[in-house]
Amino acid sequence: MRFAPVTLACVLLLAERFASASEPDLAGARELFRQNRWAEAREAIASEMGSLSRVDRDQARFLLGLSHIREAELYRALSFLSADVGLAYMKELALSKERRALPWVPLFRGLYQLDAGRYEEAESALAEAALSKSLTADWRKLATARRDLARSLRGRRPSAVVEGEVAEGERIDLDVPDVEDASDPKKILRFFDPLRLETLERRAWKSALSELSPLAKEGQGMANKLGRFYAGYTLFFLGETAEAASLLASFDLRTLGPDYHARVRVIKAASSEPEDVAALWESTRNYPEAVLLFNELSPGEPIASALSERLKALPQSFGEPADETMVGRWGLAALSRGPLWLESKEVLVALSRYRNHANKNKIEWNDPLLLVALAAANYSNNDYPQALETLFELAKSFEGLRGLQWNLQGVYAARQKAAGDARIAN
Amino acid sequence: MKRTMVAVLLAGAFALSARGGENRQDGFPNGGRLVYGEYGRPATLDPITSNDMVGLRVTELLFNGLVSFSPKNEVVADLAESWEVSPDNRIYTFKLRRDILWHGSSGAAGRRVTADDFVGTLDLIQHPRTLTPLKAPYELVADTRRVSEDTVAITLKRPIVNGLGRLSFKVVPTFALLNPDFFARDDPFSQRPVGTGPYRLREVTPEGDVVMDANQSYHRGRPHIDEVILKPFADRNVLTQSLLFNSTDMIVQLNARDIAQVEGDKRFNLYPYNALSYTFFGHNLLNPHLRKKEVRQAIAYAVNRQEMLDSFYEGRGTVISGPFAPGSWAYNLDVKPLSFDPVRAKELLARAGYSRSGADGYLLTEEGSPLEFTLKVPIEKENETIKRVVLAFQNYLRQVGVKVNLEFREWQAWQDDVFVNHDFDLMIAEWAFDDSADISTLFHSKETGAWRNNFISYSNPEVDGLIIEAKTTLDREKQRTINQKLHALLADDQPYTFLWTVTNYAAIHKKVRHVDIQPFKFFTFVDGWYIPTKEQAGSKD
Repeated sequence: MRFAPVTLACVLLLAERFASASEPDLAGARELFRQNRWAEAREAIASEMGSLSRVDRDQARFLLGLSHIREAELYRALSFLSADVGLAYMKELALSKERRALPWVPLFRGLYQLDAGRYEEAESALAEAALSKSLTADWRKLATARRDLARSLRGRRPSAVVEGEVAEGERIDLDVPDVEDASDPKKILRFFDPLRLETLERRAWKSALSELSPLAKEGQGMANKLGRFYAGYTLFFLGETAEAASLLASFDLRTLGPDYHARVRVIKAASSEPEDVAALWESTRNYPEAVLLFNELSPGEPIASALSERLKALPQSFGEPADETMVGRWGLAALSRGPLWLESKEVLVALSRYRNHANKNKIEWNDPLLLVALAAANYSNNDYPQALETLFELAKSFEGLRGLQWNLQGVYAARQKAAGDARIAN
Repeated sequence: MKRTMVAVLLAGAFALSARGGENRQDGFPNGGRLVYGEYGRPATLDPITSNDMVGLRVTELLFNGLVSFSPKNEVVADLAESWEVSPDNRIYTFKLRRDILWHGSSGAAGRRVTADDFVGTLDLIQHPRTLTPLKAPYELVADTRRVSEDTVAITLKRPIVNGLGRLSFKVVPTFALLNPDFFARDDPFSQRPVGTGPYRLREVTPEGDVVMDANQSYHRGRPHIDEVILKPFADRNVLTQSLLFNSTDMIVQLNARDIAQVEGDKRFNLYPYNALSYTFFGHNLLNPHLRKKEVRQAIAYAVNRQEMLDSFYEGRGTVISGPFAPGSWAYNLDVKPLSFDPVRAKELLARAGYSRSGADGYLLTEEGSPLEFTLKVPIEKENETIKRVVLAFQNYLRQVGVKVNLEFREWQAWQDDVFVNHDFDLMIAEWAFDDSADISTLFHSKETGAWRNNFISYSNPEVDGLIIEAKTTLDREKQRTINQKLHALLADDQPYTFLWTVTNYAAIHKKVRHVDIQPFKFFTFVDGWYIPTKEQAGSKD
């Protein structure tokens, strides 16, 4: 039985350090966390919080923070896949020359390019949309705002996107499209703003920070240390590189494992003049957590450019990860490098090796990050049914996937070439 | 006339093939034997009358078409070496390869495949006396014409989506049939077929094993594995045991309950594939009670599908809401599966006129007899899992006052009852679909004859209209909307109680290498599979 992991190791580590803590209170939440049922774990903690001791509260808070981090990472992975699929769907719609779809295509192509960090192309597409007489004033206004955002983001880290851009806090039905043209009931067009997934990711990072910051300031012992580390990690993904590095500047790593060392080195290097890049890479390349951080660096930055060639060789590592629970994170690392990384059948086979086949799409048995990476690898290998099936199951546990599913169905519908056969399977 | 040249000399490009009759150039060794286990035996071995997945897979080994599909699902040349499409997308003119010979040692042996064979095959499919599920898909063909010995022109009634892919039918040597004009299921050819595929039939043993030898002159190059044997089993548990005890090297579809056990056995690899399949209870609408929508809906509400899936399949699948699998582009994500709600089921039955109960607790019809149905179960389904499913179904319906009588039938007899005589009230089966999500043959009111797929005699003018629109439009987004509308309509109308889709895994011994599976036809790329020389020992008797 395989459960995801890295963060679980932290939870267990913390639990061990606080051996005196009143275990049973948090055991249920920890078990839910272990099964990747993060929202349920949070609910379980919320119902217990008032009755916990100080020490247990620190543990609970740490678990809450980690559950938000895991969710943020999942939405990050989904966002990468969503950008690729969304762009492919826009391409198919453009090829179809559907009159009603055409005004929307430049706008949503621009939005997906923005989401993918392709700022120059996004700026151009959104500029076209901003001038479109076929769009209403509201949509032109949005196109203009996003065009400006794309312009401002050129050369910056992708994770710095959309600060202040997204209205947060408001709960909406995420299955409802942003645009639905049902003027022809025989052909309904739907478009979903890709920023939904990014919003969910940022909400999760911010929630993580709000749980971890108090630990970083006032937590005791190991809770303080881990709280501080993960607060820094979270700040890095929120685009606050300098603040993250500052928080980790005098960090005492002695009691933590080498993957923590690797990550701290990357975060520090990202905020200042890089140390010897080759040495940095050699000392961190075996830790997917660190590679994930490398991927966050802007393509224009010296570290990123120096490392890009080395990163290209990474899929080979899938076959022999140091720790099999890291596979999902390698998957996220590959996803963040773009779909080409996942087109190789070898990558698909390597990722599949770590899937629990008997329960192949169940989050309780598979790291959700691994499932998203597998869906992306299936998609990149034109195996759309497998990708859709995986997303169908994930959507039962995580909101906001409908746009990705809709677009992927659209790509599949456009590209399928089958004969029209149906058979009884005995 | 200006023509658009479309293709293609890709026949073997994806398979690194040699020219016909030569060894392949991929460096892998020839030799060895692959024994694969199937759940049930194919009723026929020809591609015209075969209507089940076991038959589809074996015909993929024995036959070819004009075009085929690459591992990336692109249409590629097969027996055609190139083709042209007219500007109006109606006329497809195929230039045939000249190096294709029919298998076998009978009259067909060594004869070259020509345009006449393709003309003959399509004529055969369209002949009124040929009973084939291919009739509806090939109604789109207006004319098939021999242009020359090596050129055939197929004219469609109208342009269609995926015209080329839809012309991937398998060709048969019509001159080898008892009657070359039509195909009867009892034609000896259906048990002793002659094809062009990577494997040719050697024999069907008294136990039902289908033994096939590598086609030495196969046009994509000789397949690596010398011998392929289909071994049929009537029990899924025995099928898994045959793999674990080395009687077979491969199971096409592993019993969901056995996945964990095989996963833990280092001798085997598991290959997931998605055949877009689902299991259902079909309602015969010739039965006056089942003709009432409320009764069909009541059956769906009465059954706790999630509980059955969890209990009998250990949750290894997904409950569905309509006539497509969740992996399909046509699945309507807005339609949720009907909930388990026996109270609602009773209300619906009362509304349909069944509110009085007899002494035994079953609801009574107007005539005063119990409201009862016969559920026909193919004997291949007589394994523990499916037995539990149908017994649970019987019990769920008993709770709402409906009596279900179970009747297990041998596979051939079950097919006759369901597909020919329509002699059933309820039946259980599983559909599998290719990527086209074409459900027209299942639910269009004209598809109700013998060996047609609408064996439940479903008729709904709105559904008919949408099916025709989906088939005739060239607009794929429109096709998607229509299919999703069909999903919603059929989910409401419940001609079937839609159950679940289960996890599909093939289990294959690790000695078999370079395995690539086509999710629907399975064996499309089998010619590239191989067994390393050292591991071939024991492969042959």
